Parts: sequence; structure tokens; C-alpha cells
Amino acid sequence: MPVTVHGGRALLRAACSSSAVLLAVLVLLGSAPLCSPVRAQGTAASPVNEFLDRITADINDLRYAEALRRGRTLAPSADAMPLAQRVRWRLLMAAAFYPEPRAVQGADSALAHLVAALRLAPDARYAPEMRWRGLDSLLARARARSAFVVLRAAPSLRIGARVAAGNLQAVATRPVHLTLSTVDRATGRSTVQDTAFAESVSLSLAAHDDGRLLIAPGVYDLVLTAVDPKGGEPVTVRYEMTAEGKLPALAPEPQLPASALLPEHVMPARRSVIAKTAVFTGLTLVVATAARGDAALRDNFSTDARSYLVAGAMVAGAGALLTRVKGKPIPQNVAANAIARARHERAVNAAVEANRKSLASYAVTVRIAAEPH
Amino acid sequence: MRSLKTVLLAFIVTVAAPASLRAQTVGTPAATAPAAIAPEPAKAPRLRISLVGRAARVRTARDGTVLPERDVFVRGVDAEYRLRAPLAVALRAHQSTLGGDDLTFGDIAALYSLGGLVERIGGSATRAAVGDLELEFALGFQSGYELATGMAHGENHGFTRLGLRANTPLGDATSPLSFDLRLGRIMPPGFFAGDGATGFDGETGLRWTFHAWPVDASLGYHFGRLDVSGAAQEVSALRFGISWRGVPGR
Repeated sequence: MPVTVHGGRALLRAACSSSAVLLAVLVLLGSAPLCSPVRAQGTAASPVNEFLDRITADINDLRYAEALRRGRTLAPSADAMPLAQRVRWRLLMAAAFYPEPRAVQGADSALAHLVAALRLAPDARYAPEMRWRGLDSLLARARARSAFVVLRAAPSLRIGARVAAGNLQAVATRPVHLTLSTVDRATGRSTVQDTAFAESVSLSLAAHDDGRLLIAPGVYDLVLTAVDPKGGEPVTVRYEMTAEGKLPALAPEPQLPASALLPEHVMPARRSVIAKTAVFTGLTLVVATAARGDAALRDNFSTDARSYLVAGAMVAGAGALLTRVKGKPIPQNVAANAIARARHERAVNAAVEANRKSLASYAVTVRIAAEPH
Repeated sequence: MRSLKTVLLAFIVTVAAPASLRAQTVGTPAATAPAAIAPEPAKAPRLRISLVGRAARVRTARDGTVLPERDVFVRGVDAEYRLRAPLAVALRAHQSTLGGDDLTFGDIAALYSLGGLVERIGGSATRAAVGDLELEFALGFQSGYELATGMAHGENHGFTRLGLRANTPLGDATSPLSFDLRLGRIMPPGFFAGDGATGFDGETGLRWTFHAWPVDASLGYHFGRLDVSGAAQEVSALRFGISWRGVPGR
């Protein structure tokens, strides 16, 4: 649901002096449930909303300086405001900084507020009555220079098997490749949940899929990564997610330890290679120096550097052998490993089938933080 | 002396006859691999013919007087032919590009494999690790200082050489990389003139074997010292070559 700033007359236009209002607002801000998620906020009765309505009314009445003055009084407590009110406040400040008369336009300040608003809500826009020439263009400029992505979800979700319909909304400032994954904070295990290419799209989150457990009860990072196909750094946002539910007994997935497999290639024996290289490199240098017999030649000419070149080539050749040569395949071991892998695959399939039955009715309740951390 | 070169070259042509390649096989030690199941060792080449180039620096001293050093490029052929085990023969024929006052050398050598001895002492694993180890007895010649004219390579000197050759695989027998070694003591009596040449001849190098083709590439260092008639000559060379190898059954 895009965050939209509406115009209209404020309800508290005839309110008292600014200092008293500020005090009242701050007190109310302190007592109100400011940290509640965006979607849980009340829309009408909040005193912050009423204050924002007054700023809107100032803008509608072309009293931009007054709107800015009022808006600035909210700045110290802006971070404590709920997300939707913060977005609205940023958009109103941008509008107040960028009125129609060019003489009083503060483009840089307005742009900074717009970028901040887009960071919170990439699909933020003005209502038709709040639009005027230049403001929409400035918002489009801010959107073009920004790369933000957010995830929106209900405060509490009941999720089970993967279904076609998405239960999370991902919103970006432009079409991007999106990847949604969960990272178990206890184990660090990452699981890709869904992918899409869009500017705004529904992504699905599942607790299990095809007999595999994806989300067990616990605390997770819900990670949304956006990659712009036109380039630029990937953007990643992380939300804390708590999953609650009762996990049925599951068969452990069989593991295939590396020690169960035979080497499939004959690799050079490292110690032997190093020892032989040392011996032959040394012999090369000995041949070039110790074998010189004539005293006059020894006195007048130094050892020929060609020997060093060959000694260096020996070391380089041995290094290449140790790092690049894959060795020769051993067909018998390759065949034996294929059998071991097939057995392992059968064991895995049996475990997955057993787990599929156990997980059929499994579901968890997840709570996702309103804002990334 | 030119006739000697002719003889050596004729020998190469004789042993290079393809029909002889299939006549018999000569095995090298079977390799042991560090893995659970050992791979089949590569078949040893029976014939190897190498085109060799040497970027050589020649230094000469006569009765303590040092002549200016010279850089020459020497090219030639090395050949090796394995007879019935443990015997093999090898020859070299090389000449520089300078014409009259050139650096020329050549030799023909009989090789005796010490692989059986190594195996008796250390077992087959040691033999595989050591690779080919051969005793070498060679008759050869090298152009050197000529007393009459003072030319650096005006006269060929004959010699006898006794030494060792080795080719050690790096890793196991299937490894593409191996190290070469040849150490020989030059001593009288000379085979030709008997002019009392003494000295040393040694080579080390690395060889990359392309298993998919019968081709090797090698890079090495060659140092030779020849003392004769009061003159001492050192040849220090970078050796590079490409070899064709004939393998039994191929």
C-alpha cells in the first residue's frame, strides 16, 4: 500500500501557539505507541497526524514558512515516529521546501527529504491535490538517483507449505532482481525463499516445501536483496523475524562425509615435489658455480645468470604442478563414489518422504519487524 | 672431423626408422600412486628425438689470459634409443651458427639403466620416485681453442666421458613434469686425437610431457668445461628443446 500524502484542511488550524503545541505533541509522542508497525497505526486520532494535518493546511494556504517552522519542531523526535508518519512528514517538508514560486524554492533541502522518504517507502508519492509543477519532477529525480527496497508484511503471518500467492510485499524504487531469504540466527543457515524481477511484487514465505523444513521455530533475519540489472551495488535490507510454532519430529537428513568418498584423482605428492624441486634447483646452481675450474675465468667472469633462470623455471613449474594440475582420474574410484552417492541420494529421498508426511500440517506464526535493522 | 658428424647423423636416421618402433618393448618401473587404486603408468618412450637450441656463452682462457666472452646460438639434435633393457644408446650433434670459427660438439653414448639396482636396494616405490637413472659412457668431441691460430674454436678435441643421467618425475609416473639431470666427467684418453682433454659436462632441466601427444618440451641449463693444451673453455648455455617420442604400441 503506497504511502500517500493528502492535502485538505487541517483539523487543528485554530490551535494555540507553537510552543504549547510542540510541548503537547512531544508529550503525546512520548506516550503514544510510536514503535508500532506502519500498518498498525491509527490513521485519524493520532496527535502526530493532527500536527501533520496542520502542516498540510499551511502548505495549502501557501504559508510555506509556517509549514517549515512547524515541521522542524518534529525533527528531533522524527526517528521515534511510526514509519507512515515519518514518510508523510518527509514529504510535507519537501513540499514546503519546494513551493511553486521559484524564488523561495530550496531544491537541495527538498531533495534530501524526498530521498529520506523514499528510503522508508520507495513507492511514496503525493496525492493529486498536493501536486504542482516541479514537485513531481523533483520526486522523480529523487527516485531516479535512489536505490532503495523495503519489505512490507502483516504484523503476524501464519505460514505453512509454499503456496503460489505471496504473503510479503517487496517494493523498490525501480525494477530490480529481488531475492528473499531467511538466515537462522542460531545456525547461520541461509535459505532462499523466493525470487522475482519487479519494482513492486508479492513474495512468498514458506515454513516447509516439498518435505523440507525451511523455517523452524526461532529467530531469523529476513533478508531482501535487490540487484539492479543496469549495474550498481546490490542493496540488502534485513528484518528481524520471529517464528513460533510446534515442530513435529523429523528424520535427520543423511549426510555424506567427505571421508566416505575415495580420491578420484591421483594428485602429486606435495612433499616429494618440494623435495625434488629443492634438490634439482640446488644441483643447477652447483653445476653453474662449483664446476667452474679455471681460476682466470672464475676471477674475470661471474656465474652465468642462465642457471638462475632455469632454477626459477623449476620452482615455477613445480608450483604450477601443485596448484593447477588436477591429477589423473582413477576410474575405479570414480565408479565406487558414484555408487556411494546413489546410496546417499536414496537415503535422502527416504528421509524427505518421511518428513513430507510429518510436515504436511506444520505451520508457524511469524512476526516481522516493521523496519530493517 | 666432419665425417664424424656425418656418421652421427646417419645413426639418427637409422634408429629413427618407424618399423623398428614396434619390434620390441622396453618397460620402465611401474609407478605406485598415493591413492587407493593406482593409475596405469605411462609407457616409456623407446625412441626420443629432440630438436635442441642452446643460447650459449663461451668463455676462454689461455695460460691465464682471458679472451673476450662470446655469445653463440647452437642448434642440433639429441637422440636416444632404448635397446633391450637395461641398455640404451644416445647421441648429440650440435653446431653454432658462426661458420668457420664455430662451436661444435657431439658425442655418442652407451647408457646402462640402474633402475634394477635401485629397486633391489629401495624397492619399487623408490624406483618409481627416483625415475630413470642411468650410467653413461660417451665418446665425443668439442671444438676448442687452437694453439696454432689462436682461434677460440679452431680445433676439435676428442674425449671420453663417464657420468650419470636421470629423469625424475615430479609427483608420480603420470605427472606431466619431470626433471632431467646429466653429470659427466671428461677425461683422457681422447677417442680421436688423444690430446688429453679433461673437464666436466652437466645439464639440468625440466621437461613437460604432453600425454595427449607424443611430444615433450624441455628447458634446461648446460655447463661444460674443457681443459686442453693449457687452454680452458667454459660453455654456459640455456637449453630449450622439443622432442618427439616413440612409444611402444602407438
